[in-house]
Amino acid sequence: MNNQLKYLLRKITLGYYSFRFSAYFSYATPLLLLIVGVFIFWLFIIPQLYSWFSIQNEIDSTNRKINIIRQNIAYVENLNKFLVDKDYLTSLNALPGDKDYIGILNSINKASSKSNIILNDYEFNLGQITIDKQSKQKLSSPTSIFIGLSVEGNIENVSRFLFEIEHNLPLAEIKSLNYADGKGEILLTFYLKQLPDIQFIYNKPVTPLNQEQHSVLQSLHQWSGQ
Amino acid sequence: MSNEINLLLGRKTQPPSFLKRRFLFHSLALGLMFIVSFASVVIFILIALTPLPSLKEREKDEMKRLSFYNEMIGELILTKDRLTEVNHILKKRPTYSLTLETVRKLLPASVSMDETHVNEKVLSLTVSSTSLISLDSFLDQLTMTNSDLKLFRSIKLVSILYNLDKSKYTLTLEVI
Repeated sequence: MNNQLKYLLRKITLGYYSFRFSAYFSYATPLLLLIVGVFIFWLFIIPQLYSWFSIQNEIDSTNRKINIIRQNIAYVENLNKFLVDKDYLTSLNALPGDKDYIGILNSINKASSKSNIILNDYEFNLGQITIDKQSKQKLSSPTSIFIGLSVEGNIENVSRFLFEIEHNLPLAEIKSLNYADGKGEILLTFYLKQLPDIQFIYNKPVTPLNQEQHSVLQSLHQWSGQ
Repeated sequence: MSNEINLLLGRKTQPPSFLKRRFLFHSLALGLMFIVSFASVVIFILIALTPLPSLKEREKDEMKRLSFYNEMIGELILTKDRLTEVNHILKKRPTYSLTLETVRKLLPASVSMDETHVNEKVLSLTVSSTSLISLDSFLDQLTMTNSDLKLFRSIKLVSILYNLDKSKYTLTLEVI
Protein backbone atom coordinates (compact mmCIF):
# COMPACT_ATOMS: atom_id res chain seq x y z
CA MET A 1 0.00 0.00 0.00
CA ASN A 2 2.70 2.52 0.92
CA ASN A 3 4.69 1.64 -2.20
CA GLN A 4 1.63 2.18 -4.39
CA LEU A 5 1.02 5.53 -2.77
CA LYS A 6 4.66 6.56 -3.24
CA TYR A 7 4.51 5.45 -6.85
CA LEU A 8 1.35 7.53 -7.42
CA LEU A 9 2.87 10.61 -5.79
CA ARG A 10 6.02 10.34 -7.92
CA LYS A 11 3.89 10.02 -11.07
CA ILE A 12 1.89 13.16 -10.17
CA THR A 13 5.10 15.08 -9.42
CA LEU A 14 6.62 13.98 -12.73
CA GLY A 15 3.49 14.97 -14.60
CA TYR A 16 3.45 18.39 -12.95
CA TYR A 17 7.09 19.18 -13.79
CA SER A 18 6.64 17.93 -17.39
CA PHE A 19 3.77 20.40 -17.77
CA ARG A 20 5.55 23.14 -15.79
CA PHE A 21 8.47 23.30 -18.20
CA SER A 22 6.47 22.68 -21.36
CA ALA A 23 5.42 25.37 -23.86
CA TYR A 24 1.74 25.09 -22.86
CA PHE A 25 2.24 26.16 -19.25
CA SER A 26 1.77 29.81 -20.23
CA TYR A 27 -1.81 28.97 -21.33
CA ALA A 28 -2.77 27.62 -17.89
CA THR A 29 -3.50 30.92 -16.09
CA PRO A 30 -5.64 32.53 -18.80
CA LEU A 31 -7.48 29.25 -19.28
CA LEU A 32 -8.28 29.13 -15.60
CA LEU A 33 -9.44 32.75 -15.70
CA LEU A 34 -11.67 32.00 -18.67
CA ILE A 35 -13.30 29.04 -16.92
CA VAL A 36 -13.88 31.03 -13.74
CA GLY A 37 -15.24 33.96 -15.76
CA VAL A 38 -17.70 31.81 -17.69
CA PHE A 39 -18.72 30.09 -14.44
CA ILE A 40 -19.44 33.42 -12.69
CA PHE A 41 -21.27 34.76 -15.74
CA TRP A 42 -23.49 31.68 -16.04
CA LEU A 43 -24.30 31.20 -12.37
CA PHE A 44 -24.58 34.78 -11.12
CA ILE A 45 -24.79 37.44 -13.85
CA ILE A 46 -27.52 35.81 -15.93
CA PRO A 47 -29.87 35.08 -12.96
CA GLN A 48 -29.36 38.65 -11.74
CA LEU A 49 -30.31 39.87 -15.20
CA TYR A 50 -33.52 37.78 -15.13
CA SER A 51 -34.26 39.11 -11.70
CA TRP A 52 -33.89 42.69 -12.98
CA PHE A 53 -36.34 42.00 -15.84
CA SER A 54 -38.87 40.48 -13.49
CA ILE A 55 -38.54 43.56 -11.25
CA GLN A 56 -39.31 45.71 -14.28
CA ASN A 57 -42.43 43.62 -14.97
CA GLU A 58 -43.45 43.96 -11.36
CA ILE A 59 -42.98 47.76 -11.62
CA ASP A 60 -45.23 47.89 -14.72
CA SER A 61 -47.87 45.74 -13.06
CA THR A 62 -47.81 47.85 -9.88
CA ASN A 63 -48.13 51.05 -11.90
CA ARG A 64 -51.16 49.60 -13.68
CA LYS A 65 -52.76 48.59 -10.39
CA ILE A 66 -52.16 52.07 -8.94
CA ASN A 67 -53.78 53.65 -12.01
CA ILE A 68 -56.84 51.41 -11.73
CA ILE A 69 -57.20 52.14 -8.01
CA ARG A 70 -57.00 55.89 -8.74
CA GLN A 71 -59.62 55.53 -11.48
CA ASN A 72 -61.87 53.65 -9.06
CA ILE A 73 -61.42 56.36 -6.43
CA ALA A 74 -62.16 59.12 -8.97
CA TYR A 75 -65.29 57.27 -10.16
CA VAL A 76 -66.64 56.60 -6.69
CA GLU A 77 -65.88 60.16 -5.49
CA ASN A 78 -68.04 61.53 -8.30
CA LEU A 79 -71.03 59.37 -7.42
CA ASN A 80 -73.96 60.83 -5.56
CA LYS A 81 -74.26 58.78 -2.36
CA PHE A 82 -77.95 59.54 -2.07
CA LEU A 83 -78.63 58.13 -5.55
CA VAL A 84 -76.46 55.08 -4.93
CA ASP A 85 -78.37 54.37 -1.70
CA LYS A 86 -81.70 54.93 -3.47
CA ASP A 87 -80.79 52.55 -6.31
CA TYR A 88 -79.57 49.97 -3.83
CA LEU A 89 -82.75 50.12 -1.74
CA THR A 90 -84.98 49.95 -4.82
CA SER A 91 -83.16 46.93 -6.23
CA LEU A 92 -83.29 45.26 -2.83
CA ASN A 93 -87.02 45.98 -2.51
CA ALA A 94 -87.53 44.41 -5.94
CA LEU A 95 -85.70 41.22 -5.05
CA PRO A 96 -85.26 40.99 -1.28
CA GLY A 97 -82.49 38.97 0.27
CA ASP A 98 -84.85 37.51 2.82
CA LYS A 99 -88.59 36.90 3.26
CA ASP A 100 -90.13 40.38 3.14
CA TYR A 101 -93.69 39.77 4.43
CA ILE A 102 -94.28 43.46 5.05
CA GLY A 103 -93.31 44.30 1.48
CA ILE A 104 -95.58 41.55 0.16
CA LEU A 105 -98.56 42.64 2.26
CA ASN A 106 -98.02 46.26 1.23
CA SER A 107 -97.87 45.28 -2.42
CA ILE A 108 -101.13 43.30 -2.20
CA ASN A 109 -102.93 46.03 -0.27
CA LYS A 110 -101.70 48.73 -2.62
CA ALA A 111 -102.81 46.75 -5.69
CA SER A 112 -106.24 46.00 -4.21
CA SER A 113 -106.88 49.63 -3.25
CA LYS A 114 -105.86 50.88 -6.73
CA SER A 115 -108.02 48.30 -8.50
CA ASN A 116 -111.07 48.56 -6.22
CA ILE A 117 -111.40 44.84 -5.68
CA ILE A 118 -112.52 43.25 -2.45
CA LEU A 119 -109.75 41.20 -0.90
CA ASN A 120 -110.86 38.24 1.15
CA ASP A 121 -108.75 36.17 3.49
CA TYR A 122 -105.49 34.95 2.05
CA GLU A 123 -102.74 32.57 3.06
CA PHE A 124 -98.99 32.44 2.86
CA ASN A 125 -96.86 29.38 2.73
CA LEU A 126 -94.11 30.39 5.12
CA GLY A 127 -91.46 27.80 4.32
CA GLN A 128 -88.31 27.70 6.44
CA ILE A 129 -87.98 30.52 8.96
CA THR A 130 -84.30 29.89 9.60
CA ILE A 131 -81.80 28.98 6.95
CA ASP A 132 -79.29 26.22 7.76
CA LYS A 133 -75.90 25.82 6.09
CA GLN A 134 -77.06 23.22 3.57
CA SER A 135 -80.03 25.34 2.46
CA LYS A 136 -77.75 28.38 2.09
CA GLN A 137 -75.83 26.60 -0.65
CA LYS A 138 -79.06 25.92 -2.54
CA LEU A 139 -80.18 29.57 -2.36
CA SER A 140 -77.88 30.81 -5.12
CA SER A 141 -80.90 31.10 -7.46
CA PRO A 142 -84.13 33.00 -6.73
CA THR A 143 -86.74 31.27 -4.58
CA SER A 144 -90.44 32.07 -4.14
CA ILE A 145 -93.09 32.65 -1.53
CA PHE A 146 -96.52 31.43 -2.66
CA ILE A 147 -99.65 33.34 -1.71
CA GLY A 148 -103.23 32.33 -2.44
CA LEU A 149 -105.81 35.17 -2.62
CA SER A 150 -109.56 35.32 -2.89
CA VAL A 151 -110.90 38.43 -4.59
CA GLU A 152 -114.27 39.83 -5.57
CA GLY A 153 -114.94 42.28 -8.34
CA ASN A 154 -115.59 42.56 -12.05
CA ILE A 155 -113.12 41.32 -14.62
CA GLU A 156 -111.87 44.84 -15.29
CA ASN A 157 -110.94 45.33 -11.65
CA VAL A 158 -109.36 41.89 -11.41
CA SER A 159 -107.34 42.60 -14.54
CA ARG A 160 -106.26 45.92 -13.01
CA PHE A 161 -105.31 44.12 -9.79
CA LEU A 162 -103.10 41.71 -11.72
CA PHE A 163 -101.49 44.61 -13.57
CA GLU A 164 -100.72 46.40 -10.27
CA ILE A 165 -99.24 43.25 -8.75
CA GLU A 166 -97.02 42.71 -11.77
CA HIS A 167 -95.87 46.34 -11.70
CA ASN A 168 -95.07 46.61 -8.04
CA LEU A 169 -92.26 45.68 -5.67
CA PRO A 170 -91.26 43.08 -4.60
CA LEU A 171 -91.37 41.24 -7.92
CA ALA A 172 -94.28 38.86 -8.24
CA GLU A 173 -95.58 36.43 -10.81
CA ILE A 174 -99.15 35.30 -11.37
CA LYS A 175 -99.11 31.53 -11.24
CA SER A 176 -102.80 30.90 -11.72
CA LEU A 177 -106.13 32.69 -11.88
CA ASN A 178 -109.59 31.21 -11.65
CA TYR A 179 -112.30 33.81 -12.10
CA ALA A 180 -116.00 33.24 -12.51
CA ASP A 181 -119.20 35.06 -11.51
CA GLY A 182 -117.44 38.02 -9.97
CA LYS A 183 -115.15 35.97 -7.73
CA GLY A 184 -111.58 34.90 -8.30
CA GLU A 185 -108.85 32.74 -6.79
CA ILE A 186 -105.35 33.98 -7.55
CA LEU A 187 -102.08 32.22 -6.80
CA LEU A 188 -99.09 34.54 -6.68
CA THR A 189 -95.39 33.98 -6.09
CA PHE A 190 -93.09 36.66 -4.74
CA TYR A 191 -89.39 36.30 -5.52
CA LEU A 192 -86.49 36.54 -3.16
CA LYS A 193 -82.81 35.71 -3.44
CA GLN A 194 -80.14 35.52 -0.82
CA LEU A 195 -77.59 38.33 -0.96
CA PRO A 196 -74.24 37.08 -2.28
CA ASP A 197 -70.90 37.49 -0.51
CA ILE A 198 -69.34 40.68 -1.81
CA GLN A 199 -66.08 40.02 -3.60
CA PHE A 200 -64.31 43.19 -4.63
CA ILE A 201 -60.88 42.93 -6.22
CA TYR A 202 -59.33 46.35 -5.61
CA ASN A 203 -57.28 46.41 -8.79
CA LYS A 204 -60.21 45.64 -11.09
CA PRO A 205 -62.12 48.67 -12.47
CA VAL A 206 -65.46 49.54 -10.88
CA THR A 207 -67.86 49.75 -13.81
CA PRO A 208 -71.13 51.66 -13.91
CA LEU A 209 -74.48 50.02 -14.66
CA ASN A 210 -74.82 48.91 -18.25
CA GLN A 211 -77.72 50.10 -20.40
CA GLU A 212 -79.89 47.07 -19.70
CA GLN A 213 -79.41 47.33 -15.95
CA HIS A 214 -80.08 51.06 -16.11
CA SER A 215 -83.33 50.46 -18.00
CA VAL A 216 -84.45 47.83 -15.47
CA LEU A 217 -83.63 50.21 -12.63
CA GLN A 218 -85.74 52.97 -14.19
CA SER A 219 -88.68 50.56 -14.41
CA LEU A 220 -88.20 49.53 -10.79
CA HIS A 221 -88.09 53.19 -9.65
CA GLN A 222 -91.33 53.77 -11.53
CA TRP A 223 -93.01 50.75 -9.97
CA SER A 224 -91.91 51.74 -6.49
CA GLY A 225 -93.48 55.16 -7.05
CA GLN A 226 -90.18 57.13 -6.95
CA MET B 1 26.85 32.80 -23.15
CA SER B 2 26.12 31.46 -26.62
CA ASN B 3 22.55 30.45 -27.38
CA GLU B 4 23.77 27.41 -29.26
CA ILE B 5 24.79 25.58 -26.04
CA ASN B 6 21.88 26.80 -23.90
CA LEU B 7 19.66 23.80 -23.33
CA LEU B 8 16.62 25.85 -22.20
CA LEU B 9 14.81 27.84 -24.90
CA GLY B 10 14.17 31.49 -23.92
CA ARG B 11 10.96 33.40 -24.66
CA LYS B 12 12.49 35.37 -27.42
CA THR B 13 13.35 32.22 -29.30
CA GLN B 14 9.73 30.91 -29.45
CA PRO B 15 8.01 31.12 -32.87
CA PRO B 16 5.98 34.36 -33.53
CA SER B 17 2.70 32.44 -34.17
CA PHE B 18 2.94 30.84 -30.73
CA LEU B 19 3.56 34.23 -29.11
CA LYS B 20 0.63 35.75 -30.99
CA ARG B 21 -1.72 32.95 -29.89
CA ARG B 22 -0.63 33.25 -26.29
CA PHE B 23 -1.16 37.02 -26.34
CA LEU B 24 -4.68 36.52 -27.75
CA PHE B 25 -5.52 34.00 -25.06
CA HIS B 26 -4.32 36.30 -22.31
CA SER B 27 -6.32 39.20 -23.80
CA LEU B 28 -9.44 37.06 -23.98
CA ALA B 29 -9.15 36.00 -20.36
CA LEU B 30 -8.58 39.55 -19.15
CA GLY B 31 -11.39 40.87 -21.33
CA LEU B 32 -13.85 38.34 -19.91
CA MET B 33 -12.80 39.21 -16.37
CA PHE B 34 -13.38 42.88 -17.11
CA ILE B 35 -16.82 42.21 -18.65
CA VAL B 36 -17.92 40.06 -15.69
CA SER B 37 -16.81 42.69 -13.19
CA PHE B 38 -18.44 45.51 -15.11
CA ALA B 39 -21.73 43.58 -15.57
CA SER B 40 -21.84 42.71 -11.84
CA VAL B 41 -21.41 46.33 -10.81
CA VAL B 42 -23.96 47.64 -13.33
CA ILE B 43 -26.63 45.07 -12.43
CA PHE B 44 -26.05 45.66 -8.73
CA ILE B 45 -26.58 49.41 -9.18
CA LEU B 46 -29.69 48.89 -11.36
CA ILE B 47 -31.32 46.57 -8.83
CA ALA B 48 -30.43 48.82 -5.89
CA LEU B 49 -31.91 51.88 -7.62
CA THR B 50 -35.22 50.23 -8.62
CA PRO B 51 -38.31 52.22 -7.52
CA LEU B 52 -40.32 49.09 -6.63
CA PRO B 53 -40.40 49.54 -2.81
CA SER B 54 -41.69 53.13 -3.10
CA LEU B 55 -44.29 51.98 -5.66
CA LYS B 56 -45.53 49.29 -3.31
CA GLU B 57 -45.88 51.91 -0.57
CA ARG B 58 -47.84 54.13 -2.94
CA GLU B 59 -50.10 51.19 -3.83
CA LYS B 60 -50.84 50.60 -0.15
CA ASP B 61 -51.70 54.29 0.34
CA GLU B 62 -54.10 54.26 -2.62
CA MET B 63 -55.76 51.09 -1.34
CA LYS B 64 -56.22 52.77 2.01
CA ARG B 65 -57.88 55.74 0.27
CA LEU B 66 -60.16 53.39 -1.66
CA SER B 67 -61.16 51.55 1.50
CA PHE B 68 -63.01 54.70 2.70
CA TYR B 69 -65.54 54.00 -0.09
CA ASN B 70 -66.03 50.30 0.67
CA GLU B 71 -69.66 50.79 1.66
CA MET B 72 -70.58 52.55 -1.55
CA ILE B 73 -68.72 50.01 -3.66
CA GLY B 74 -70.48 47.21 -1.80
CA GLU B 75 -73.86 48.80 -2.54
CA LEU B 76 -72.94 49.19 -6.20
CA ILE B 77 -71.95 45.54 -6.48
CA LEU B 78 -75.13 44.36 -4.76
CA THR B 79 -77.28 46.67 -6.89
CA LYS B 80 -75.76 45.19 -10.04
CA ASP B 81 -76.31 41.68 -8.74
CA ARG B 82 -79.96 42.40 -7.95
CA LEU B 83 -80.59 44.11 -11.29
CA THR B 84 -79.06 41.22 -13.23
CA GLU B 85 -81.36 38.77 -11.46
CA VAL B 86 -84.39 41.07 -11.80
CA ASN B 87 -83.73 41.39 -15.53
CA HIS B 88 -83.54 37.63 -15.82
CA ILE B 89 -86.83 37.22 -13.93
CA LEU B 90 -88.59 39.90 -15.99
CA LYS B 91 -87.55 38.20 -19.21
CA LYS B 92 -88.88 34.82 -18.09
CA ARG B 93 -91.99 36.06 -16.29
CA PRO B 94 -95.25 35.80 -18.26
CA THR B 95 -97.34 38.99 -18.26
CA TYR B 96 -100.89 37.75 -17.90
CA SER B 97 -102.25 41.15 -16.96
CA LEU B 98 -101.22 42.59 -20.29
CA THR B 99 -102.69 39.62 -22.15
CA LEU B 100 -105.93 39.70 -20.22
CA GLU B 101 -106.28 43.44 -20.62
CA THR B 102 -105.64 43.22 -24.37
CA VAL B 103 -108.29 40.53 -24.78
CA ARG B 104 -110.73 42.37 -22.53
CA LYS B 105 -110.41 45.57 -24.57
CA LEU B 106 -111.31 43.66 -27.73
CA LEU B 107 -114.65 42.58 -26.29
CA PRO B 108 -117.52 44.31 -28.04
CA ALA B 109 -120.13 45.92 -25.78
CA SER B 110 -122.55 43.07 -26.27
CA VAL B 111 -120.05 40.39 -25.24
CA SER B 112 -119.25 39.74 -21.59
CA MET B 113 -116.42 37.75 -20.09
CA ASP B 114 -117.92 35.18 -17.75
CA GLU B 115 -114.91 33.13 -16.73
CA THR B 116 -111.17 33.43 -16.94
CA HIS B 117 -108.65 30.80 -16.02
CA VAL B 118 -104.91 31.20 -16.19
CA ASN B 119 -102.56 28.34 -15.54
CA GLU B 120 -99.15 27.26 -16.90
CA LYS B 121 -99.17 29.88 -19.69
CA VAL B 122 -102.63 28.84 -20.89
CA LEU B 123 -105.34 31.48 -20.77
CA SER B 124 -108.81 30.05 -20.93
CA LEU B 125 -111.74 32.43 -21.54
CA THR B 126 -115.44 31.95 -21.49
CA VAL B 127 -117.36 34.76 -23.13
CA SER B 128 -121.07 35.01 -23.80
CA SER B 129 -123.41 37.10 -25.86
CA THR B 130 -126.92 37.03 -27.20
CA SER B 131 -125.50 37.67 -30.65
CA LEU B 132 -123.38 35.24 -32.60
CA ILE B 133 -122.29 38.11 -34.84
CA SER B 134 -120.77 39.89 -31.83
CA LEU B 135 -118.91 36.75 -30.86
CA ASP B 136 -117.69 36.33 -34.41
CA SER B 137 -116.56 39.94 -34.47
CA PHE B 138 -114.69 39.36 -31.21
CA LEU B 139 -112.93 36.31 -32.67
CA ASP B 140 -111.94 38.28 -35.77
CA GLN B 141 -110.55 41.11 -33.66
CA LEU B 142 -108.64 38.62 -31.54
CA THR B 143 -107.00 36.86 -34.47
CA MET B 144 -106.17 40.17 -36.20
CA THR B 145 -104.63 41.61 -33.05
CA ASN B 146 -102.64 38.47 -32.49
CA SER B 147 -101.24 38.55 -36.01
CA ASP B 148 -100.09 42.16 -35.35
CA LEU B 149 -98.86 41.83 -31.78
CA LYS B 150 -97.93 38.14 -31.72
CA LEU B 151 -99.26 37.76 -28.17
CA PHE B 152 -100.15 34.09 -28.42
CA ARG B 153 -98.72 31.04 -30.13
CA SER B 154 -102.20 29.60 -30.74
CA ILE B 155 -105.89 30.35 -30.22
CA LYS B 156 -108.07 27.29 -29.79
CA LEU B 157 -111.87 27.27 -29.89
CA VAL B 158 -112.86 24.77 -27.21
CA SER B 159 -116.64 24.96 -27.34
CA ILE B 160 -119.68 26.95 -28.43
CA LEU B 161 -122.84 26.48 -26.41
CA TYR B 162 -126.31 27.92 -26.60
CA ASN B 163 -128.25 28.43 -23.42
CA LEU B 164 -131.96 28.22 -24.16
CA ASP B 165 -133.07 29.73 -20.84
CA LYS B 166 -130.86 32.78 -21.10
CA SER B 167 -130.88 32.86 -24.93
CA LYS B 168 -127.18 33.29 -24.86
CA TYR B 169 -124.26 31.89 -26.82
CA THR B 170 -121.25 30.91 -24.76
CA LEU B 171 -117.84 30.59 -26.33
CA THR B 172 -114.84 28.99 -24.62
CA LEU B 173 -111.35 29.72 -25.95
CA GLU B 174 -107.87 28.64 -25.00
CA VAL B 175 -104.99 30.88 -25.89
CA ILE B 176 -101.41 29.79 -25.38
